[in-house]
Amino acid sequence: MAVERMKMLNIIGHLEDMDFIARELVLLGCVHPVNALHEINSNNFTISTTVKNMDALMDVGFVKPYQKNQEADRIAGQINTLLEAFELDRDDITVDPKSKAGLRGIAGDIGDIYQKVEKCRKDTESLNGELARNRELKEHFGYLAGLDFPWQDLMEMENFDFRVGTFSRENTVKLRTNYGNIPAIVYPVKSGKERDVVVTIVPKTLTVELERIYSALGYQSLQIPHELKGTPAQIIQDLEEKERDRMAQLKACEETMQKTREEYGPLVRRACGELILYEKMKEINNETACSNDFFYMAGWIPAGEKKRLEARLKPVKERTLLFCKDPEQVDKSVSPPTRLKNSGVLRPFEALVRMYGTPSYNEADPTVFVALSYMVLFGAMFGDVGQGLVFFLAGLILAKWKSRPNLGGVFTGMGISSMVFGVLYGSVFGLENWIPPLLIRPMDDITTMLFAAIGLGVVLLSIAYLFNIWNAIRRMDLEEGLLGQNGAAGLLFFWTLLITVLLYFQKGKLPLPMPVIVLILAGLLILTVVKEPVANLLLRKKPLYRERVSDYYIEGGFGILETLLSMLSNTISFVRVGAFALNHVGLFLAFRTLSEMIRNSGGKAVVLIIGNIVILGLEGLIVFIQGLRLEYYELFSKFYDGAGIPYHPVALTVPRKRRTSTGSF
Amino acid sequence: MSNAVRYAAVDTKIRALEGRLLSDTDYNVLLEKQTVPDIIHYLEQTDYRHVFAGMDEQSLHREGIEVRLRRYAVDKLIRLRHYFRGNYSKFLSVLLMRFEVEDLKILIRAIHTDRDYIDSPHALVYIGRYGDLDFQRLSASGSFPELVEHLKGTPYYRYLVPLTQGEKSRFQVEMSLDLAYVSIFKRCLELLTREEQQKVLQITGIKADLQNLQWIYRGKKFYHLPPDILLNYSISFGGRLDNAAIRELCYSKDVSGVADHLKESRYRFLFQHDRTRDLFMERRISRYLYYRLLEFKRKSSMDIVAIIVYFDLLDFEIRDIITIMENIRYHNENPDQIKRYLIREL
Repeated sequence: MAVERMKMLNIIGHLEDMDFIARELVLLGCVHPVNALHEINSNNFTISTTVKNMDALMDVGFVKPYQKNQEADRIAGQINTLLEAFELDRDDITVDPKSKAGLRGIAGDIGDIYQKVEKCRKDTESLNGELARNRELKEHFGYLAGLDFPWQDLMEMENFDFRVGTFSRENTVKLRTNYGNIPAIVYPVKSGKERDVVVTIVPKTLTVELERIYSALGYQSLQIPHELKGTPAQIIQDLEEKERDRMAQLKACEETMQKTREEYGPLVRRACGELILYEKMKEINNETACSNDFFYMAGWIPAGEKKRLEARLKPVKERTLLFCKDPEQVDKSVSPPTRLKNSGVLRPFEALVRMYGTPSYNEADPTVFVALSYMVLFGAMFGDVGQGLVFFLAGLILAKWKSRPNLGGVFTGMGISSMVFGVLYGSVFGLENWIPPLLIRPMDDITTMLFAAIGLGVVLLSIAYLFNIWNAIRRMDLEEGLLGQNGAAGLLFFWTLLITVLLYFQKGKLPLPMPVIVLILAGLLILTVVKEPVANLLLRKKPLYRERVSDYYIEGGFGILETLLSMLSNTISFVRVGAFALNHVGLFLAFRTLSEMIRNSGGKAVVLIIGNIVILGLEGLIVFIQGLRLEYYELFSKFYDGAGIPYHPVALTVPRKRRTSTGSF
Repeated sequence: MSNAVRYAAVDTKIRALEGRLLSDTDYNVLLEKQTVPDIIHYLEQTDYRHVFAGMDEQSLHREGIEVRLRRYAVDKLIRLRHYFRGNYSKFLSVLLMRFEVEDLKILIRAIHTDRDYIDSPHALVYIGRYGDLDFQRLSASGSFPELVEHLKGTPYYRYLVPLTQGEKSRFQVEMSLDLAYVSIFKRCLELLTREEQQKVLQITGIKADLQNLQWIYRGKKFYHLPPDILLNYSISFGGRLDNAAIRELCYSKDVSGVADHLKESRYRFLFQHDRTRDLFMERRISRYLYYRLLEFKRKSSMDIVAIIVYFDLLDFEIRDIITIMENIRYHNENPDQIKRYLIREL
């Protein structure tokens, strides 16, 4: 249970080595890049002044961001087009880590294939265009198929115009109401869904008038070339012949394409591997700064990976400067990314923590606490051997076969805990007569259940306080840790109040005389209010207040109210753990009563099974959420900040099928 | 879903919105105002209070004010649209398309003549602020066919494509856009229940009739348009006047022929005053509609009518405000005179 130690890596090298180094870093897969220019500007990028470093140092004054490599981007674009044409899925392609070719090494081959494919694509496109136009014309002449005149003659009439065109539906109706006033013969040949096709024959002298009417009605003339030969029927035949011819060409094109695919498939796959690698390298390079001869890289690596890194960069060791610094040596404004390190059983619960926020680098990793407390809370609310087993199995299935390791892991944990509490409560699939309870039957002793729940809450809350104090110690934050309302003062106040109340109600007496208790409590409360000036006094810091004094105390006054209220509500909130345990039994009781009202035993079983399904689904979900609520709201708010940066190293991602537990649910 | 459920909330909302329309007292106060800023100051005390926010008092262009007032209406309708899902939400969107069509006309005009006018979407009520049309793309079009190409995939496309063949006048384009809206609207009626379709048809039928009459009358009197053009650009929506009746009106010899035809109809009021006929025709139409709408509203409950009526009342009110402002800018007549030009009768 920890946050992994990080080191700041600075690399300075010759520009010609840059691609090699970026490649090695990607293959190493554990560098979280940081913008080098930003690092240099904030003076983090410190280089010891030796003769060997002189050149690089002189150049630092001229750094600029890494310029995009347009040549490589062009090749990348070609490969992407090829992938599409070859119908390859990037996820299926594995990168060959041994290949040294790089994008430039395969540029020539790829260029050739690209030309071929591109030609094929263009041919196909133009053929398809021709076919579409052909089909359109065929359709148009289909309207005129009954006409036994050569098309050219119709087009070249001396005194008449022959037109084919369309109107929208509603305008055909309008046209019809006014047939009497139209100076032309209008002959509808086809009524379509949206538009009607009409043939119009108009004397040439009247075309102007006709056009005026037609354009008002949204007439759209069909584009038919004049020079087609033969009657419409013959033209259709010609068109069909042309179509067959083009189809044959299209097929030939496809065959060529298929052959190209078979021939160059492996090459394109390899190229895609290079592309993936290149894109990852770009992620690193984009954060790199360059001068005329050198490049400057910065990034975080886990402290333990330093040796492997050095081994990988051995070939260029002589010519490259490599520094590793501890986070303490780096400017405060750059915080290291957080990589959580937990053992296998606990790792799924990292997702629960991450859902709230990634811990800061200096913050304690709450995963263990969350895992244990969440399992206990869930089990206590949902204690049942049988139903727990179902959750356990569901978790196994999710993790193993559905590639949901986090959700699956959390489910298994919940299932185990539920089974343990099932034994304690003596409940199997809701039935309480199969095994004896080891501890208690929730329904038999409701008060104990509820008080026990609050007791559990007190324990968990106290741990949360301790966590906060521990975090404050790590940050060297006297104000929060010692005097804060969630720090030592708060914890002391909480327990003093608790012991007093407990003793008073149990034994009817007070541990100390009343005035003393009141004095202690009031003192602690006042301490939380004046925490800032007191802490600054102790540390001899000035000024005492960061804001206006009056504002500070007004806020502090309300702070007292909030402290008291939240203490009360946070504690009482845990009653729900007991309540849901009772609810769990109660809900099943309802189904059992239903089953007893049914005479035949088959019916009884059905009702019980339905009851179990409802409880598993509905109550399981509610308890799942209530558990989260207790974690996030009651506990995390006491100590957890979650403002860290998640650790995202540049690495070749494993295809989804083989993905292990990373990411969230 | 039954209408009682569908309109339970929105009916109440509309009541509240209607309560916020200007009262007669508001009107009277506005009429007494002497300057445009005075009017705006007063409107800022009413429901229009946010309309003029951030507007520089010195540069109150007429256009700027009108655009803001219209956007106010759009905002109201969009807010009402939140109360609906599925078909009804779509129907309200179609009501909003009226603004889109007007904006498209402005864009087309700008492409033809005055590009500076649409450097930014300030001049437009709807496009660039609401809806799916991309202002940047549309306004970057160099020609009308290019603009039409950019409209591919929208309902307007198929109505505008025929106009890209050959040289078409802007008049034709704008008329076609208006008719396109009419037929889109007609089609979207199917989204409503049968009963509601009937009611909406009744209202829009009256509107269509009046629009047609105005179009035919003006076309004949001022523009001397040939009857076939009048007929082809009229709305065939069938209120009281069916296609045959419209055709007869279009082909009647002159304006008095039109008036003769309507002697017995309910629309005869448009032609009864010889001296003020032209001046007040539009106001008479609107005022007639105003009272008909109120009547429709009284007779209906828990249906789409309330929304349509509210929307029109709001439109009338905005037009009245604009009239009052225009009077200050251009005529400065006394309040009693202006009242005659307002849609609402005071």
